[in-house]
Amino acid sequence: MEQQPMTEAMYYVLLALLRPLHGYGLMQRIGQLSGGRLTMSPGTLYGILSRLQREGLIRLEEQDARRKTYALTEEGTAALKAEYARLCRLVEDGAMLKEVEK
Amino acid sequence: MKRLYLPHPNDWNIGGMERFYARMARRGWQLKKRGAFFSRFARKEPEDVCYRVELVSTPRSDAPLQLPPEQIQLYEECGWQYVTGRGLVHLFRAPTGSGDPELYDDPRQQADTLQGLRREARFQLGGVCVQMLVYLLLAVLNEHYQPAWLWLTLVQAPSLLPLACILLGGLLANALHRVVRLGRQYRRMRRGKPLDRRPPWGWRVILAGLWAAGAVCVGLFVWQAAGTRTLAPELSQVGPCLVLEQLGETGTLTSLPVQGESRSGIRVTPLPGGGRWWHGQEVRESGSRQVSMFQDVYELNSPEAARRLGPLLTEAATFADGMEPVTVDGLDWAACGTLEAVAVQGCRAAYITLIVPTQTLEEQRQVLVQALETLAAHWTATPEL
Repeated sequence: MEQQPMTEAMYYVLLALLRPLHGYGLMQRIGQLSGGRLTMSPGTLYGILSRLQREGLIRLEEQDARRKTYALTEEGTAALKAEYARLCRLVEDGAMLKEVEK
Repeated sequence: MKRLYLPHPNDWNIGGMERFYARMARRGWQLKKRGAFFSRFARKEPEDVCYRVELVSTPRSDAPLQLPPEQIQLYEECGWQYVTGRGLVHLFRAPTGSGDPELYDDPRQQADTLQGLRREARFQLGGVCVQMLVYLLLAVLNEHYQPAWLWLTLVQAPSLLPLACILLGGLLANALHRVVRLGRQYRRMRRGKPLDRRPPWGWRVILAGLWAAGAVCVGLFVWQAAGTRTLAPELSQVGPCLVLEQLGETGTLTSLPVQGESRSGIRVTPLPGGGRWWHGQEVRESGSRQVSMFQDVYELNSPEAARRLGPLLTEAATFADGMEPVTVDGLDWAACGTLEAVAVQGCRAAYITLIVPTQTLEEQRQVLVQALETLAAHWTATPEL
């Protein structure tokens, strides 16, 4: 089955989780990765994490009393790569716009 | 430590809850615990804080009603301190203007958290509807149920039925409004618009109307109860009522043999519009002979009201099947059975149950007709209100 396009927020969460992180660290990492363009509120982030976990794209790496560290699963890595490839194709297909602008 | 308990806004009113707790904090009352209907506050220094509600978005109805610890941890790392929670509703606070990010920046994501509350609201509405149906069925299927009783109740205690309607209607309206409001909020957020935190003015007006109507009913009930007096069944005291002495029964005044505490006596209750309702019983014993009379006499504010009441009293009689219209001089309308009689004259209407030891039912009926004639003469001699 073909993978559905990801939302921008989901894409950045998966991208940030190339290195295992806990929730707050994730928020900061997403800010860095997007150059401050994308800020994610805690409620929105928690909702996305719950959904990604339910879909098997991320897993809990380690867990103490309250804090959880999240990491990508193999499916998550594959989904991220697939989405990246899709986005690249979109950019390549849109390259003709540069010629139009000239 | 000083404590304060106050009723809090309903859980569907998310903006109302957040404003309420922030206002209390500015007044120096910090939220400590949220109960089912009341919140507990502790005295603190006034502070300018912002409250945010987070809802437990349970995928199933049997899921735990707690926020996961990692979610609380994440919010606290972002500057939102967990305060308390109950059921699906949990509260976080942060100093106003601290620059901490809002809990949600994506309304579509936040819309999902309303699902648990919406399910609970639909369940509650279903429960209220079932409750109403049960009340309705109990009323209609009751073997003693007669529509005439409803009208009589409206005459005797005009506040009771409207008060019951206001209570039940308010319950139904509240449950329905909860479902509608949450549904509207959910659809709005799914369209990408932020949570509507504005005060629900329309609903407030409806609630104020219901409270005002309820207060009027309670006031009327209290006025009637406070104005009710109990009188001895003596001719000089009980105005338009018939007393057994007028029927030649002069035995000793006693209590009802089947209800030891129901002493002989006539109560008079004021009615709205200047009328009065006289009601009570009189039991007299003479040797082994015991005579009992129960009566409801209404003094209303118009002859039309009294004329309408006559047939209703007949219909509501215990042995209504045996009641037949009779002509009695001095009465506008009368009906008589074997134990009960109804009389109407001018603005007055009476329902009398008379139990006299007789050999036959026909004798008993004759006694009742005589009682009606006596009543007609008594009413003619006694000026109306």
